[in-house]
This record gives sequence, structure tokens and C-alpha cells, in this order.
Amino acid sequence: MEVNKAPKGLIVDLITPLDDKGDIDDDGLDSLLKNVLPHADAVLLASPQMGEGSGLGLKLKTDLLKKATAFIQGRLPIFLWISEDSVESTKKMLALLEDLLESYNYKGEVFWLDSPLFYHSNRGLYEHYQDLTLNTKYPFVLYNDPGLINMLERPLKRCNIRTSILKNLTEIGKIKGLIFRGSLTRVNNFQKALNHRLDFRVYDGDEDRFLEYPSMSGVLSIGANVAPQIWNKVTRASLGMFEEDRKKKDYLHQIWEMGKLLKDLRQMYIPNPVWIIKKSLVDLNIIDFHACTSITQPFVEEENHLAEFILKHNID
Amino acid sequence: MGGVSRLIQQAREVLQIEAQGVLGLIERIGSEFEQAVEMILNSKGRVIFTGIGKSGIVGRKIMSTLNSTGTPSLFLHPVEAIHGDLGVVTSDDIVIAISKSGYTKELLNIVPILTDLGAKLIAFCGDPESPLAKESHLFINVGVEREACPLGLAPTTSTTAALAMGDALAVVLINRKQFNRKDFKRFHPGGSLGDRFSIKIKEVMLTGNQLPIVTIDQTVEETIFELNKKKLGASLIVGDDLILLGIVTDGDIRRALLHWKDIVDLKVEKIMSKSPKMIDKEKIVSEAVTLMEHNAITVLPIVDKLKRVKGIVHLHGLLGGKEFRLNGSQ
Repeated sequence: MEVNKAPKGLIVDLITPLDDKGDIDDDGLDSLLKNVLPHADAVLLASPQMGEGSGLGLKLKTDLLKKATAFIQGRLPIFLWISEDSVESTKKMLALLEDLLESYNYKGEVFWLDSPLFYHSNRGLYEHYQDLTLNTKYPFVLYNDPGLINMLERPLKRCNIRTSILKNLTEIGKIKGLIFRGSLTRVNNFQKALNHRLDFRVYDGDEDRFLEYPSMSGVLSIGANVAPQIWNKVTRASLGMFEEDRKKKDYLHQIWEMGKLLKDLRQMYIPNPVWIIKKSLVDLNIIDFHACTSITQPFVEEENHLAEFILKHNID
Repeated sequence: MGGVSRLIQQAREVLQIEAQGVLGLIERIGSEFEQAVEMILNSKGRVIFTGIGKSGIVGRKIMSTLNSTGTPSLFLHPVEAIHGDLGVVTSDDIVIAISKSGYTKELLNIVPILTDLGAKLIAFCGDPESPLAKESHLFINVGVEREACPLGLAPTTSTTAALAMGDALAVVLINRKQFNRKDFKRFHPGGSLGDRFSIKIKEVMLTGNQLPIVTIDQTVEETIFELNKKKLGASLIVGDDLILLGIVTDGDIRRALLHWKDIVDLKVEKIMSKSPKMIDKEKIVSEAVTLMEHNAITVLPIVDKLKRVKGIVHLHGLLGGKEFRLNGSQ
């Protein structure tokens, strides 16, 4: 499958609906996707942040991919986080997922999302990706998230991909984009290194950053799990994809208000986004369980009024 | 309060983002840009900018820059265009349409008409897949990676990038046309009078075959012919080695007619003013203007130290009138 460019716009960092036994909640996944799909430009599965990717394990990850692709049926691109705790296990995960897609000849667009520093240092990264990309027909999007790397127990010299290394990596055509979290200065430096690749997307991995200074490639959104439509409107407005709407009365004011609402919404789920959003989705009757993996489950389930806020402001 | 305030930090971030947006264009400039330059250089028409909102404002600024650097240019508002202003467009013209997205409806409405008229269309936009980019003869990518305004409510980096690309186009055209300081002054006669008055006469005087010159042994008829041909209202009368001997103006012709009635076969020497005012080519323009104003004359011969004719200036030209030319250029 030859993919020229990664999608532009709203990528929903999808929660992984789990049932009480800890398996993928099929109905919950379908219901969530049904709610999100009309407003998304892509979905990210099993992310380290919302998808609880590092706690899912092989079986749940493959299960999730199988069920999500069955529902999505190629209607929009899927990003899937593949990183494991070593090069070998990541390669093994990649091979299994690839085989799975091959087994039912999935025709939709799939991008492997990889956080290289999760299991590899900057040194030798180019050679690593030369090897990794040879073993798959699907393109890659890199995920630079210093927060994730800082949480690892093993100490690493760097928690960001080095700019010079990234520049080398972009020589590999199968790497199509980057989801970025980190400082503005670093993303600007990254951008300089990437200017020669006009097909390369740099998405904001940080919703706040996007709402402040939107990347023209798009955003990875947590809040879109519960407010996909409003996130879609704000993303499209930010990317200038609503030329006609700009002429409508009060359009800019409405977008401004929506942006403020999304910031307020974010304040409510950011203390423990996975658990709070799952809980709200249950309250909103979109999923039935708010079970989380052990890495996300809060010790004390604090009261949260996200669903109430969503209903009060008629957000959908 | 320690450190930098949030306000200053935000301002710095905006500048950082906008700077990055412009830097990003460096890699994007390619063969299309070269083709656009060649297209403009080979065009017999004008460069017409069009765009709406802030893109329109950017278009107007680039138009102004091109005009002041020797490339005839104008702005066409896309809405006014479909209400009659399209009449200004000819098949010789090049239209540069500016739109961040390339989906601006008002622009897309006029694209087929512009191409029907035979004008060449260049798109300045950020999306190669947009209808504007696809329907244009050339696409110049002015896309940016990040806007500096919350929620992208106002185009910021993208308008800066489009403007910078317009400047790149203007500067490249200047160099290709070998537009120099003198040309710049020619197109800025009203811009900086003080600056213009401080330049040397030799830089602004008419020279070569633009000079109205007759020799002392020629007739009045030949003098009138030269006077009409060069359209400066005067002819310089010279001897050997272009030594200035006199001047004949329109006034001298009228006075001669009253005196001699039939003057065409007279030698010019009979009617010329034998002590014309003149000035050295190394003097500055303000001295020439002062001299002309004090003596109520409109043309002034320019000579070297041996009184050999080197050029001529006209008062209107020095003051920025329509006929102002430099060294005979058009």
C-alpha cells in the first residue's frame, strides 16, 4: 500500500474500552467509534496516553486492532501505537499486527505510531528504522513525547529525538509524520530540519499548544473522545478548512467560545484523563464500563463532573 | 517580578513561529518559482494580484512593491471583478491569486473567467491539493506549519509567509531586470524629494540620442524639427566637439516669427540665445532646480568643464513630473 501523505486534521486519541474482565468491550468500542468517526480525520489506537498502550499487552492490542478495523472498514486512517519495551519486542509486535491485517486483507490506511525513545536511544536510530521499515508495508508516524520517556524507570540521556537524528530519519520515505509534545523552541527546530519533506506532517500532541498556536497538520486530541464535534469544528477552523463559515455572522466569536469551552473541558479531565473520560463516557451512555488497566486506575476515585459539564453545555 | 513576563514570552513565541514560517519557505521554493519569474519577465502585460481579506491586503502590498521596482502591477478585488472589473484583464496579463487555503470561493469564481481571457494564473497558497492550486498554471507553495494566533482565528504566519514570498519575487525580478538605484529613483519621484534633490545631475540627466542637438550651421527649420522630435521645448546649439554655443526654445521661435516672418531657411545662429544658462554634470539636482527657478527656465544644458554638452534636464522631470526620465530610459 503506497500512502503519499498522512492525514491532516483531528486525530482522536481513543480510549480503549475494557469490560469488567479486562477484555476489549466490543459494544463500547463500536459505540465510541460510532460517536467519534463522523468528526475525526483519524483515530489513534492503544496510545501510551489515552489508549493505555503500554498496559494492554499483545493479546489486547491485536484484539483492539481487529475489532476497530472491523468497525472502521477503511473509512478513515488508523494510527496504532506499536512501541514495546525493547527493540525485539517492538519488532515482534509489529510483525504480529502486520500479519493480523494481512490475514483479513485490510484495505484501509494504517500508520504505525512509534515512540522510539521508549525502547531505543538516539544512537543508531536511523539504522533501526531502516530495518523496521523494511519489514512492513505500512508507513510510520513518530511520537516524540518527553513526558512519556521521563516516566520510564530506566534513565535515558535524552527524552527527545535529537533534531539531527530526526533530519536523518526523514530520509526514510516511509516515515510520514511526527506527533510532537515538548517545547515550542524544539518543535521549531524540528520544523527547520523537516522543511525539505513537504509531505511530512507535524501534529500537535499537546491540545493546549494546538489551541494556542495551531499546527497546520492537526492535533492529537484527548478531549475528542467526549466532545468530537466541537473538537472537529475548532480543528477545522484552526486549519482554515472552513472558508465559507468565516463569513457567517459571529463565526469568529463562536470559534473563540468553543476554544474556551475546550480549555475548560480539558481542565476537568487532565488530572487523570483516561479514568475521568471513561467515567464520563459511561455517564453519557456511550460505553458501559469504566474499567482501566492497572497503570491508569486511580487509587482514589475522586468525584468528577465532566459528564455534567458536557450535558450542561450541550457538547456532543 | 522575576524573569520574563508571560506577555513578553508570548510575543517572543509569536515572532518565533512567524520567523519559522518564513524560513520554511526556503525549502519550498523550487522550479515553479523560477517559472513564475520567467513568466513575468516574458509577459507583455501586467501582474495582477487578487485575493480577499488579509490575503487581499498582502496582494496590494506586493503589487505596490512590484510597481515601485519596475514591474507594472495592479490589484483586482475578486468580488469587484465579477461585477465588471474583469475588463481590466487582458490575455497578456499574469494573475497572482493569494489564498491561504486555496478554497476561497470568490477567487474560485473568477478562475475560469481569467483563464478564458487568456491570462496566466499563479496561485500563492498553502495547499497543493486545493482547487486554486490545481487550476492555476503555476502553484507557489506559501504554506506554513503553524499559525501564531489562537485557534487560527486570524491568519498570521500564513500572511507573513505570502508577503515574504512576494518580496522574494520582487527582488528576484529587480535583479533579473538589473533594476538599479537610478531606476528606483525614477519610480519614486514623490517618495523622497530631499533624497532626489541630493543626487548628482549626471545621474538624472538625459543623454545620448535623447539630447536635442543641432549644429551652429543648421537652419531654423532643422532646429524646429529636432525640437519637436525630442519634446523638451528647446534645442541645444553646438559647435565643434559639442561645445555649447547657444540654445533655442519655443519662445525664441515665436519671437523670431514676429521679427522675420519667414524663418525656416534662416541659420539657427540668428535666433538662438547666445548665453544660455548651464550647469556642470557633477553638481547636484537641487542646484539645477534653483538655477532654473531663478532664471524662469524649464530646461538646462549640462556641460563639463570645457563646456561640452553632456546632457540636459527638464524642470518637470526633476520635480517628479510625468516626463521624468533618467539617462534616457523610458
